[in-house]
Amino acid sequence: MKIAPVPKDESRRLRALENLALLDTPRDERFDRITRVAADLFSVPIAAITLVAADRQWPKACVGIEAGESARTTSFCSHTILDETAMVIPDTLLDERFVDNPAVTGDPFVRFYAGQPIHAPTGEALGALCLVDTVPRTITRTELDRLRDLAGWVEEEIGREDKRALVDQLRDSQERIWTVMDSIAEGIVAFSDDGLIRQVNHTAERALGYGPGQMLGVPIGALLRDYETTRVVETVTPNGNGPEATKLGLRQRATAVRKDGSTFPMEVVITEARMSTGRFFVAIAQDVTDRMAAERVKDEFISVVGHELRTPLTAIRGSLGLVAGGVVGDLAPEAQEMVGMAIANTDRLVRLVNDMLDIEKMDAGHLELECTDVSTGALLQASLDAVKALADEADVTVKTARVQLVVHADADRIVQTLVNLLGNAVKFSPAGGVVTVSVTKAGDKAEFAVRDHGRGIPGDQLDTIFERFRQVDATDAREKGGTGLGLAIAQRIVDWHGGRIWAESPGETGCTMRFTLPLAAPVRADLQDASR
Amino acid sequence: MSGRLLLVDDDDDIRAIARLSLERIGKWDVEAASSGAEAIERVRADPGFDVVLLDVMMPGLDGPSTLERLRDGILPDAVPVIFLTAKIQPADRDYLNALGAAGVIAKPFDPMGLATEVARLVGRE
Repeated sequence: MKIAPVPKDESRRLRALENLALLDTPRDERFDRITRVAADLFSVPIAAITLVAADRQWPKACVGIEAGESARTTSFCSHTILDETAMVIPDTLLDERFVDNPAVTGDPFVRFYAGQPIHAPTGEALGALCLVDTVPRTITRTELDRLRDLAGWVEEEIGREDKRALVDQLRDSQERIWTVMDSIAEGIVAFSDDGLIRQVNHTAERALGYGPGQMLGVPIGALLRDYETTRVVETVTPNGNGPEATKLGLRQRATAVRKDGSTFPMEVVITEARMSTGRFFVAIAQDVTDRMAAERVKDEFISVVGHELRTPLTAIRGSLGLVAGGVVGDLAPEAQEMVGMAIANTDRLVRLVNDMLDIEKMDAGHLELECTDVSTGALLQASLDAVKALADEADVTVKTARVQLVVHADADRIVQTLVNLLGNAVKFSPAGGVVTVSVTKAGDKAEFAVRDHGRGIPGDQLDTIFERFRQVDATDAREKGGTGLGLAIAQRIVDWHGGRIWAESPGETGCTMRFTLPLAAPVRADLQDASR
Repeated sequence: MSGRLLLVDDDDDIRAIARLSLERIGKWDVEAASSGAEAIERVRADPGFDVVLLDVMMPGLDGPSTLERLRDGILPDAVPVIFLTAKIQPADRDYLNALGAAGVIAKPFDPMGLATEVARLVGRE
């Protein structure tokens, strides 16, 4: 007995067989009747439609023999699928491949075999339509043609099965996708190049007051207002084909318009995607009415707390100031000293209130930056002016290395940051010491550096110093007059600008605080350079 | 530099402190009002002030509303108005300046420097 070789396209063939999902399925009249017709037409006792799997042959339909699979090694049809045309064995006893086959030497005692390969819609041979007799016989050319016709019929049925399965699969997968889409809390609206809506989820329909399907074909502009398209940024995509986002929008606040014309605030991000059929856009949006109400309450609370705390502090600071200033009479030296302490601590309390309210506002997530193109020279000068008195008092010299760059930033907030860092550097410098502040260009960012020669920062605290109330030495707040919030605020301000802030303290003494800011748009920076 | 100054603040203590500071250090002739309505009455009775120091957050008529009424033919445009405020957000400062104030002084203020600050803001240094 000879075992049939494995077809060249075996793995593709097996995948096609698996995809058709015909193996081990129940009996099907559509195939059964073909085997009945074949047995009658050719007057053979046995006819079968077989599928050749990895290790077995399985009959999808058969007559004249009990349906049961057999090992692939002894399978006749595993030879049939090697060729495009029918395999005919007039007498198995005269064929060395089959003479000792168990189906020849035992039940059902095969003497004659004729098999026509049957193919998947994609072309791979799946098995055969075969005729079997227990006596030797011949087959005419006309009979072979009829056998091929019947095999064609089998293939038609398989193809029909395949299409039905495809449609079912497609419907299933669509249903799965949209069940997920509809259960997402965000509204999802996909629109094509012409701005017309092509697909929406239920969340979007409900939020905007449309019935199922009513939004299809509506222009996107009818339900989206105050969206700044200028804030869409291009991103680089590594590979060209397939559906993928080629533009990523920034999440932003906009106004949603309901079907009845009423509006509500939303947060929306629009991405551009490319498919084989062209490009389209996907807007994902969320109603932020409640969040904005909560933000308003918090803003109001912060504003009231600020006012309520500062009013008594104004009276305390004011009366102490007048007493210390001798406006209401001279003080004994000891009393003068006490009042001085009271003033210093009141000032610290005021700074603490200011810093805490500042950081609350930032953490509430809506620090309003008023960014303009501003020169680093102007930022440094304003910061130096602000710390001059402090530096003079501490006998510390502040030096600058002037590099003129133009950054896109909120000048007030960056001066606040620089004053903070410079103030720390001065406070921790020894008398007669030097603090250096510089600006350099680092890629598409400007990098600010404030260097002192004070006691430095231990390596394990370089990150934690940016946390609230985290100082290198617990007594610093009292001795240095800080609030413990300065660096936390600086970090938030830099973060909001899209920059980064960090501390370096390489040696025993001194540390360098660095932060980056985005440079202004290149064209304008070039103009600035050219005009200088 | 002396002159007549109208001080408007609803807090008695702050009024007393500011008055003392402005009179003793700045040599201003200070008149005080404890509400926006009272301020409007005083100016209507006698508009001859050289500067008005106006608190922002007051019950009833707040600072900005008081300024609006005063500018509606009661107080001559040439008389500078300075806001006093316990809200110190930069945006608030911009908003107040945009209302036509000569300047904004944050609370708490240093009483020894208050008069100098007022003088600076109205250009009487």
